[in-house]
Parts: sequence; structure tokens; C-alpha cells
Amino acid sequence: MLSYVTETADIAVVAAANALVINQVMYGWFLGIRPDDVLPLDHHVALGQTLKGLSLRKTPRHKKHVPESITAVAYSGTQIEFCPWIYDTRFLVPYRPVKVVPPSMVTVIRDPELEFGDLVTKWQREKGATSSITETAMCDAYLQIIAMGRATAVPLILAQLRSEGDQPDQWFWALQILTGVDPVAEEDRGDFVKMSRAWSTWGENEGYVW
Amino acid sequence: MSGSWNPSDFPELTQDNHTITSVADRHYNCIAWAAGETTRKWWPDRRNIGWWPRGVQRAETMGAFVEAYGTLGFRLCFDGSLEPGVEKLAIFGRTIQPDKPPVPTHAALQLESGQWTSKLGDLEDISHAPVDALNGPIYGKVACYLSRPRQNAMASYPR
Repeated sequence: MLSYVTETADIAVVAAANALVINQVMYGWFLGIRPDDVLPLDHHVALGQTLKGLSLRKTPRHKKHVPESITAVAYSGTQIEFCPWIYDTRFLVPYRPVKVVPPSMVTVIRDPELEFGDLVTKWQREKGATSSITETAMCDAYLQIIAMGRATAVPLILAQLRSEGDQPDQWFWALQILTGVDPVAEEDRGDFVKMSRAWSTWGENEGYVW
Repeated sequence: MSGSWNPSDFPELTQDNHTITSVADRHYNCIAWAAGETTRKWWPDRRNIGWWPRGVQRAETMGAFVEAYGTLGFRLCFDGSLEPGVEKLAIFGRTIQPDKPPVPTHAALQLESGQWTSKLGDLEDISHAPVDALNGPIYGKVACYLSRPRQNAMASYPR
């Protein structure tokens, strides 16, 4: 049996995500996608990232109807075009791009860890060779990390500090803002290794798990 | 060898006018490096994250930076020309608002050879000549020069 899918895709990616939830389906029936289906992505999607060869994995319960894979072939601004693989009993052939759902009908599931990782990478790029501690804290990505809020951001930052070992980065500004405290001894100012240790100790005492 | 910085941040830095002298290191920044420190970052941020000499105003102004290096014996001087027995330091600044003085961004220290040594943020140390090879959108340009009698301890730059 040959399935035909003939529209263009239109999915908004508004943040780092590792899955898209289809709220409402217009043309999804071509793909066997139904409202509230979760389509995990093979690769997480970062805002502004150019995607080629991205594939969506179908959920098992739709195996009967959904093509073997859907490959994003183009990404521009807030739209992704998907090119489905048309399943034939004998072979798979790529077909022209399809429309799945308009952006307003898609909810992006945010994965805080993935989003944080993307923002860390973006921050490193943004701050570049800047020496100013103030300027590094004013970078867009750094402010977005702070905007994630205390409950989400603090454990992620503490874990990041731990992973950076003896080369800790400037996470202290964010931690101060998010927690309202500063556990660093006066004589340790500027010594990021000692400051990192002070914050790790504080996190343990506060019961943070990271 | 090319550095890990974005070339567009330093449009005047070429293969011929600089040498990388260390790997990237987050333990210190340019202000500390020019002061001879490699274990902590100097910066007068309002959240007391960076170290700053006690008794010096904690402000991101040229006056505060000159005062901070003053605690090490540096005084304002006219230019960055090489003078025997004199150690010079350049403070870079970037104009944020046209009607306001430049904001300090970077410091470079002159070596006995006449080359300058700079730590680029969290990235590598380099030696470069001329001093304004680092002019650009990140550091701006040299705003003032300081000098003091050359001390033996500083003759070991770069590491």
C-alpha cells in the first residue's frame, strides 16, 4: 500500500526541546498522527539551530499508520519542513515535504537540562574574550539561565560547577541572584576554585541533589 | 597555532603580530595577569565576585583601575614606548555612551623585549606587538598608560 502526503510542514520551535506534542492535527492523519501524540526527536532542537536530516521517531502504537521516519529537510526561522518517507511494501522512497500542523497547534516540551546545556554553550560563545565579570553576567544566555528560576537553575548550575572541576566558570553571579545568599569568604573573592567549593558546600547543606 | 577567540573580536590581530604563550585558563583574567597574579580574578563588580585591592573604590571606572594598579606602584605616564628599567602597563577602554568616559575592559603589560603580554578573558595568554593589536569591539582601545620601575619578578613574563 502506498501512502501519499502532499502538504508542507510548519512547526514552530520556540526553545530547546527534545519532543514536540501535537495539540491539534490538520493534516496529521496523513501520517497517522493524532491529537496529543508525542513525537520524540532523535536530536534535540535548539532555538535558531539549522537542522538537516532530523528525524522524528513515531510512537509504537501508531506503527501501523506512521511512515517509518519523517525527516526534516529544511529549517528557516521558526519553521521546519518535513519530508516523509513514503512506505511501500517493497521499498522506502522520499517524497516531497509535508505539512503537519501550524505553529499555534504545537507545544514544545522543554527539557531543562538540554535547554541549560544549550545556554551554557551559547554563553561561552557570547562572552568570548571578555574579562569583565559584569559583562559576562549580562550576556543574553546567562540571563536566560537565571530566568529559569531557582528550583530549576540552581541544581543545574551546581552540577555544572562540579563538572568544570578545577576550572570553574563564573556562575557565582547567577547563584547569588537565584538564592539571595553568598557563602563565599571575603578572602576568597576572585579565587573561583575556592568560590566553587564554597557554593558546593552550601548546596549540600541546603539539601540540593545534583 | 590559532587561538580560541573569535577573530572578529580582534580585527587587528594577525599571525605576524602575536604569539600564544599559554593554554586557556579560567583562574585569572587580564587585570590579574597584568598585576602578576594567576590564581584569582581581579574585577570591581558590584556583587563582590572578583578580587579588588582593599581600600580602592570598587567601581568599573578608569580612575578605580588606575588606583588599583597604584597599589602595586604604577603611576600614570604619557605613552607605551619602551624605556630601559621601566615597566609599563596599558589599560584598554571601550566607549559605551558617546558623552561618557570609556569603561575599562582590558590590561596589557609590557615585557622587557618591548612586546606586550595579555590574557584574553578566560582564554589564552598572548604576547603581541604593537599594544593596539587588541583594538576592536571587545576591548576598545588603549585609554591610558601606567609605569613603574621594572622589578625582577616581572622579568619572567611570559610564563
